[in-house]
Amino acid sequence: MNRRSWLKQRRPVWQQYENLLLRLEHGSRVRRESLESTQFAALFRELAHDLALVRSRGWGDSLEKYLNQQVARGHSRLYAAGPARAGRMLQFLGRDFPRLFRRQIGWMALAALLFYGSLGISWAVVQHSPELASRILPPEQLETYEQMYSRPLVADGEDAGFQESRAGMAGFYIRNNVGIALECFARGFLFGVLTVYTLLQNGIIIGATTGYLLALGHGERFLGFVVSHGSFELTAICIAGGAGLLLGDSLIHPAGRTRLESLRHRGLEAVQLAVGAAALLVVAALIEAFWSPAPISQVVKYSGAGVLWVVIALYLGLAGAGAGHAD
Amino acid sequence: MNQSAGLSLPAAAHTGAASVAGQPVWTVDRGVPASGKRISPAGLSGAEEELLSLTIQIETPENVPLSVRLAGPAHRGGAWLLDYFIRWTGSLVLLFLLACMGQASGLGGTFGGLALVTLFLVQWAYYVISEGFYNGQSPGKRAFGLRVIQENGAPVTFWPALLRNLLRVSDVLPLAVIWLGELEAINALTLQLVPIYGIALVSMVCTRRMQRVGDVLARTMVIHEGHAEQPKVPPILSRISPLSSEVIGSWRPAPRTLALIDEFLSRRHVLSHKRGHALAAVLARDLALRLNYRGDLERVQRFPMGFLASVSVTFGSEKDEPVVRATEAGQ
Repeated sequence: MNRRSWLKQRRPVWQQYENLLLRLEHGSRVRRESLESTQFAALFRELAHDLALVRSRGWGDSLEKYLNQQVARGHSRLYAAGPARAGRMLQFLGRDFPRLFRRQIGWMALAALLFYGSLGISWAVVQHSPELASRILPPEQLETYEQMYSRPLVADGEDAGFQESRAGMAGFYIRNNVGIALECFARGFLFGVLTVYTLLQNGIIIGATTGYLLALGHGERFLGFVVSHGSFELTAICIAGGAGLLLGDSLIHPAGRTRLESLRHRGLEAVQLAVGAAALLVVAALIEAFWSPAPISQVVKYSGAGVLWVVIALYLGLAGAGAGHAD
Repeated sequence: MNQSAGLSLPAAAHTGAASVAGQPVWTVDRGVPASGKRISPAGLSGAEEELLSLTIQIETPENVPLSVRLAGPAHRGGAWLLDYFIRWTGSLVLLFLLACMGQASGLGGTFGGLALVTLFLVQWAYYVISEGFYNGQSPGKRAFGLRVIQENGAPVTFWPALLRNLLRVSDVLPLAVIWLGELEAINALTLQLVPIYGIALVSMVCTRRMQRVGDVLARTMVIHEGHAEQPKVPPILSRISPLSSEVIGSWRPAPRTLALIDEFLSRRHVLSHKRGHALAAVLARDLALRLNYRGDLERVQRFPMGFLASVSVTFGSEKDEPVVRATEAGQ
């Protein structure tokens, strides 16, 4: 057997393989016939063998290149993971994400401490001496807040356009908040420094705003507005921050791995937490746009908020707790 | 260039021969250089070539290493620019349509909200969706023949695609700020933050697989998708007669050399006639020396490609070691 006769003999097989590969790459997975799959696996192994042969005999560069490429294409087809499915995402949100949250509860708690701690301190300080607010927030911003909350959020007779303009706000909240959360996470890989910074900054600003409005006597209206969507939004900020801290910590405490390996090992969990947080923020944005400013009595609003806080606590605490093993 | 037979090769053979088809043709007689190490076409040892080359070996369950070619910053930058352009034109067109629909229907708020959601998706989901669901190719990467794959050679799936693209916000740092002037109507566009991908570049230089931080964490890499054709059969061989055993000695060229000749001849049409002969001359002369060719040396010098073809015809149909078929070997 020499190169020339071998080539003559193999060419039809390669052609057959190429045709089958093309069908597999473009055809539907559901309609695939069992015979095709078996045939493909067999042909793929034959081509892998041919490649090894061409290499060991030194039968030519372009031949090797050709076979290498065919085998590489087949390899990615044969060992491919299944396609992404929408059902997977639901399973992730309904089961895997809360489980992951409970597994990493320590980091969540640390992020919450940083966030709520700075929020509480700046709230207390600013409410005690409101003039300090201007050192945290620009004066124009304060003025806007003051005007916003000094009158009812939705004026009488404005009901017709209410739902409509709120849809616009929902879009704004989604873009703004989810973007911030994702960045808060992604910048965590610089040893978590930027994540800590983002958490403290957000905590201080939110706290100062709250303290300032409460000191001016707009507290009732403001708290009624924020308490509902705060359930999802503040929780999500803590989760995204915790994910960033997790990423930073994997660099600081590699735990027996190299730092890089540690970052990769824990990075996947961190990104899943961040995506879960993003989903919570989308819910929060919808609540913030449609429910929070609704012209209803404060009692209804507070009880609605109470329900939401219980829902988020139950979801993160219990969802997926009993159902089978994690995979 | 008139050196006697049997002595070392002329200097031109080193450089010239190496460039013929990327093959060390002089392994015919001097496969092992003085140092004793096997050396590659570029004259580098295995380890050095591994360090410098852009190919990566992927281990397969079949125990056959596959080589893939990594994509460098230039190609990836080009793909990014194209994607950037697509994203901006796409979102401007969408925003314009949404604004028109908002005007027409009187539901300005709703369509404004949709516009903001669109911007959000263009910013965060463009790459995740295109790479995660279309086998590692965003439109820009497709145009540049690039593909994201996992380090083990498998196609990229949703979570790695998501991770590598979320971390883009870290990779793009530092940002350059460009002020486009006073355009109050489209406030968002006046101050452009242009990503420089500084962290990504540093990371690509430092990693063996040229990965940016997102790639490192997601265990992915970006490769060139080559397109290789089945090598053709040399067209002229049927009209060539073999060398008679009277004019050559008993030495046989290695299969590697014969394969090189076949591949050279089958791609002969990409060169001009003159250039083809010039390239072939280097190998033809050495082969004539080695074969102890006693025929028309004048002809070898004037038509080296013809001589190579007759060498290929003479030895190409001889028996080589038997090939054990994969199926037989498995049993």
